[in-house]
Amino acid sequence: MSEREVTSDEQLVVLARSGDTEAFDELVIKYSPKLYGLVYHMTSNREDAYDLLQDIFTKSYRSLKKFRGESSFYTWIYTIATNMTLNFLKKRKRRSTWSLDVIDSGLQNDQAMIDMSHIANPRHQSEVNELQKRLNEAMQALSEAHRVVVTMHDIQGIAHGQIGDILKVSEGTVRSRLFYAHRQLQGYLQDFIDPRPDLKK
Amino acid sequence: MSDSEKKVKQIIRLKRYEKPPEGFFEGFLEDFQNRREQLPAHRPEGFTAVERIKSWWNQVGVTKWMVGCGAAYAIIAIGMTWWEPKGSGSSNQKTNLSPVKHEPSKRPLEQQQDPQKKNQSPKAF
Repeated sequence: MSEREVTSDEQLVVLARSGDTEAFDELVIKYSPKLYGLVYHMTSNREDAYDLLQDIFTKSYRSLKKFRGESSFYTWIYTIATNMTLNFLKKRKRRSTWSLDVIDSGLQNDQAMIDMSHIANPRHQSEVNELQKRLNEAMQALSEAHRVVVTMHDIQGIAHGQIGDILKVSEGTVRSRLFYAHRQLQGYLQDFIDPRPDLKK
Repeated sequence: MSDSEKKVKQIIRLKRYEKPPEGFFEGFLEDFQNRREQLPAHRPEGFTAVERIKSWWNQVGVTKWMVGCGAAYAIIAIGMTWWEPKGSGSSNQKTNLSPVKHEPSKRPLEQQQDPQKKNQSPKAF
């Protein structure tokens, strides 16, 4: 990558629109981890997330001339990513072969996750596998509209207002969806929220 | 916020620590660059008309199908109501089926003759 002084998204977008492919590469490097988080937590499948992320950046690159700067590049590309992910999920739902069995279970190998879950809820380490499985199942059980706000707010830490901008809905709608999503998740994760006495031992 | 909701958020937040496997992004940029190179150079940002139709077709869900079918049915129904075949004639050009009346003229026969002919002198034979 060439050494360049410009770092802001706006400058990189201007350069990319004028044909500087390296400028767009910088945007890819900057946003791929964040967008991966969004896509992965929505799909719960790494391979799907990889392919979808490639599609998202390809579409963004080809649509760059349509970007008028009315919102930030961050909001713009998140909107594209969200729409494409929701379309993908609709298609996947229609495919009869897909089931919850294809949900990744790579989390149990993630040491950071194991450590954090141990701190958050001092249980036996073997329960991490169960927690991860239940977490993903609970996420997939949510409607797409609810899952996307949980992913953005609870997992990615995006503010309500910004989620509203990305999804083109009001902040109140975002809060309402979060509320109902949390209620639904409470049911799925009841064992982990309110442990049975025998498990407490 | 209730305690259980706080705990739910706490548990879900654990997914923040879920990272892609090591090396996941190493080949990502290279793959993207390869894909970009395959894009046609001077194509207007995105789609040709055929691609747009294909993309739309792929994204059509069951609901859209139902709405589309309903709309098509409504259009056909309205069309059938308003359309009249050309041969049947329009309401403005109704055929007069009443019998034709022939009434004798009240003017004398001479007055009915063409005035130009009246002025002409009879030709000598």
